[in-house]
Amino acid sequence: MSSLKKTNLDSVTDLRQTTDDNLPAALTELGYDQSFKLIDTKLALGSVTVVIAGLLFLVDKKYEFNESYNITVISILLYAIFSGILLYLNRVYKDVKYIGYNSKGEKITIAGWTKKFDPIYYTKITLNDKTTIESQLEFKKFFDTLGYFNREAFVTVLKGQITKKSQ
Amino acid sequence: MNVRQQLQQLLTLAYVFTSAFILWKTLSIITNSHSPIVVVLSGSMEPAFQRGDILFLWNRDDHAKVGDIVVYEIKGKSIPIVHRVLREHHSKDFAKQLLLTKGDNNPVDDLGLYAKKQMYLNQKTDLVGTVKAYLPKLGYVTILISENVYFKFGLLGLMCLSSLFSNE
Repeated sequence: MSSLKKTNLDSVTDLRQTTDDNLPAALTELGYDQSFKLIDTKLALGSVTVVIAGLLFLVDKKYEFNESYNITVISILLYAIFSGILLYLNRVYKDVKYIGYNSKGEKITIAGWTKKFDPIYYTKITLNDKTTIESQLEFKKFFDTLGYFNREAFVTVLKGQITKKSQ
Repeated sequence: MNVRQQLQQLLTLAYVFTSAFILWKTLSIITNSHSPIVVVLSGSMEPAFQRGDILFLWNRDDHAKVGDIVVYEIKGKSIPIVHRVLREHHSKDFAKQLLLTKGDNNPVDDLGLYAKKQMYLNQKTDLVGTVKAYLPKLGYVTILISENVYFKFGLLGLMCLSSLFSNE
């Protein structure tokens, strides 16, 4: 379905978003299986903070300020801890859009970002948490003039980057 | 992945509310006041404060001084009142302090506002906080929100929409 969607060629954000969305499919073609561990961890942490805030809200509605003082302090501290972990994860895995493993057990981490007005997809591909490849992929290489995303061209470009360092 | 994406969107929306709420509760704990920011609702403190002014409260003062502007609530009535301390009586070391208040713009003191048989405010238990700073007129938004239902939901709707459509 996503290959039928037109992307606004004038918006770097849209171009980046479409590219990010197509990363999993492209990497499946290159033989990788996506690992959702990081995403699920972040979702879980986020949900916990929402639950803590929700429970605190209920306590706040039911009890007086003085009665609920201690519980409030504890809740805020717990919220701060989980929020802190979430922030830390976001800092360490900054811009990471895909983590996957191939059949040989090799890990690939792909971080992708854009700068405000450049039509370039900056990537940092990390293999097995050891070797990193930083590249600049021009959007025009895998988007056609009408705005359709070209999966085959993207896979080729990615493949070229991954095998570049391994040579 | 679709489930994950939807959950992520839901969380992003929830973060708007949870972070605002936690921020409020944190401020509440720091100031030791159940309502650390209040909006002036009446004109009883003119010309010092006008309806719509935002007041920032602090409730960790050991005792109040005559001339301080305090916010208090009478048990049984939920509206906070912003008036000035007129008279005070205290026990040794201010362990207990009783206050009499009056609005600058009112002709009489607050005795008529207190609960039946209540002659003074207890500094430790009746006060929401002492006014330490204020911002003029910006609080009119909250008066509109609480008094005008359409405004409240309209603003909430705007906040939700803006968080859903931000992709930067």
